[in-house]
Amino acid sequence: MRKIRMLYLLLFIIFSTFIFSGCWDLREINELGLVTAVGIDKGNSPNRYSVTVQIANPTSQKSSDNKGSQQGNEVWIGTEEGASLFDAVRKLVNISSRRIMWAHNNVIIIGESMAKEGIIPIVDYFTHNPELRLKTAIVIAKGEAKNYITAKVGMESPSGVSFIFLEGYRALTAESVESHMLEVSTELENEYGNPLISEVSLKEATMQSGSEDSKKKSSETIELSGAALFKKDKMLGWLSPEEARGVSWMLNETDDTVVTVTDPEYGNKNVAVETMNVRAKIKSEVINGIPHFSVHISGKGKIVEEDGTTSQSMSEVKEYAEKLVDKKIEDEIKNSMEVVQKKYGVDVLGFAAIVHAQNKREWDNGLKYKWQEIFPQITVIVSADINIQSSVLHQQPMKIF
Amino acid sequence: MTIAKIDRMQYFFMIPNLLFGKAIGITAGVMVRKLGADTWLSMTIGFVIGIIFMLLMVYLCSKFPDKTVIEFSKQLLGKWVGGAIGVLLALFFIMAYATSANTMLLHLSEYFLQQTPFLLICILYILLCMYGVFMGIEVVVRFSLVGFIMSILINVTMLTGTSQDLRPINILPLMDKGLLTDITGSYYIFGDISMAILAAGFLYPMLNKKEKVRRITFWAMVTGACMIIVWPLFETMVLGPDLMKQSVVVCMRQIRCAQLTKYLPRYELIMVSFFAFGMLVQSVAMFYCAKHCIKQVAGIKKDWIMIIPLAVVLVIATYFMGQDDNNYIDFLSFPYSQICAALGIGLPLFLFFTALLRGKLKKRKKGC
Repeated sequence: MRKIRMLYLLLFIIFSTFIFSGCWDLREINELGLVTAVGIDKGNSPNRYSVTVQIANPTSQKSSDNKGSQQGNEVWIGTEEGASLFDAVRKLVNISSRRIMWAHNNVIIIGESMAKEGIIPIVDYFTHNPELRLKTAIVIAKGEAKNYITAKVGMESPSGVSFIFLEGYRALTAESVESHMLEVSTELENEYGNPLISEVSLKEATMQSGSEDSKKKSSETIELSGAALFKKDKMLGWLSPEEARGVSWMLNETDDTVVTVTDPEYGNKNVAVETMNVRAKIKSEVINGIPHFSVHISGKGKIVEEDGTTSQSMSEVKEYAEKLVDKKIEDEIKNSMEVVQKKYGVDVLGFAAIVHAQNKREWDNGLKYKWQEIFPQITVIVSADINIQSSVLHQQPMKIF
Repeated sequence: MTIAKIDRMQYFFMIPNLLFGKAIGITAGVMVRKLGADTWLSMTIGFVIGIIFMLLMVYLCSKFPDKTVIEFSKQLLGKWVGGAIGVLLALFFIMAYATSANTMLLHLSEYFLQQTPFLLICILYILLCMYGVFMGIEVVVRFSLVGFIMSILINVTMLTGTSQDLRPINILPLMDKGLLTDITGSYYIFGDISMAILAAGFLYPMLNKKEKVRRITFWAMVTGACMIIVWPLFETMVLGPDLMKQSVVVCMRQIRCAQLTKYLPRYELIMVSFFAFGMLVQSVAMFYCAKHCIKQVAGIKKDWIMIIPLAVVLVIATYFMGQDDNNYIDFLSFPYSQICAALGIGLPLFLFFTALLRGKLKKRKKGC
């Protein structure tokens, strides 16, 4: 018996040596093109897609190919067209000499015209692809996505890698929304969902490599600000940074965000309040077949800047600033609701899910069948309550005697 | 023939392993297509029912402490009917093995080894299981402690990695499909619970001590249920029922969302390697039970005579079941779940009433 066991073990080890060597799925790292960012645009003819990839170039070799180019020496950029995204990506092998790998991709940039035509091919391709993380950022570019692949992102390089940082600090201003492949695909799959995707635009930035003016050079950098609003897979329009922020309050996507208010007590100078632990609670009630929502924003805050002088005590300043901050948040939400509800008539905030969760009977008895018609009629009452607890190091406001 | 002996703690760790692997991703996917956001609730109901039948099976086993389910079926119903139950169980365990193996193979072939021929992965996995069966059930049961720890680790890594993406609204309203639908749909989880119920009929006689086994079984089932239910609960809150419906392997899509800060943005391979241990225990246990059934029905004494031909049958069954992943999932939806529910509920109930009518339940073993 022992001999038979040993024989089995031996046979297993010998067999494994041959077949565990990974012949079929062998992928050498020096043969892989690690994509750090991808831009997708419409092709030159109908039903064709143009894919531009930014591939990390660890060897810093110069490319002589006219389709591919260098951004500094850190990345290789290539563009190809195909009848499907898969086709276009496969064709990239013809010019890149490496097999494309998506595992390290940080951002999917979709061109404006592509977004207006429909993003289903993109979402479908990347959710099919087991290499891509579902937490990969997805953004809509003003104009062609291709131009953004060659642009810089802030101070970092390559831009694809540094996009993570840009996206990571998004909540500080909350002027764009959280949009990863996970959220976008969830919204698309949901019967009543409509995606809201962050917007990127190009902004001129001046880079200075030394102290002399001659060393200054201007370049285009990517700005993450605003959002693109979709009806199912097709883009309808843009939300301005302020409108996107109004939406962010309701989506609980703000963090350490600054609200600047003009305080008459400071001689109409500004007071900046940094908000923390902000939470939105949305409740719904159906009256006469129409859902009514109450949105309550609560959180803490601290005064981080006072641009004027006042004779008031700090507690008086806090109390007054609280009212102004609450009012400003309420206004931002109301303005964004006006655009989302009245201008576009698209439920990107998940109100359908809230009514369904909180008013199941009414939802099942009819609301779900006519939600598109009802959504523009819903009423939203907004209230905010930010409790300013600190004035950061200052015991009393600055006074000039 | 020497009867293998296993410890009660080993038995405790074995049960969550028998339940875990297929339930968290594949069964959750099957259920979400029928029950939407209520999947976790329906699964919970299924586990409550399943625990009752598991305890019934253990109670029956305690009345025939040294006999397997086939042996005491023969005693209760005669040689031929008992033999027929043995054949039925052998077919069930072959099928259960194929579904269990395909769960592991789907993870490998869809996410990591896409170019490698599926048949080769099948053969390799079955060779590995064959080695486990050849080593004997004690080794497998001992290994189940490792499988249990690894299953806890995969749960911890999944929970921590996806907790920032939880959207509780996705599971609301509770009982969206209605309580009745949730109860009637809960039988899908018997595709997993039946493995434990029916395997208990073979594991029980191997226990070296039989005191407090019902209590141990109860807590093992509760532990396994908790480890499993957290998956559809989190999957629904992170992915939403609609995105879950789209996936073949839901747990892998969930794992693709897991991220621990920007410094550890993905760890699917680590999680799959944790998962593999528990999966292996489940597969080997099904292989072992299939072999044991055939041995007892056919009256074969030597293990190795059975293992090699059975391995060939399992390669064929696994390959044809899993070569088309959509067909595999459809098969799990119908008729696999229905067969499992019929066996997992029907067999203990049938044997219980037979034993009751034949007066075999009158004597109680002290301490069991």
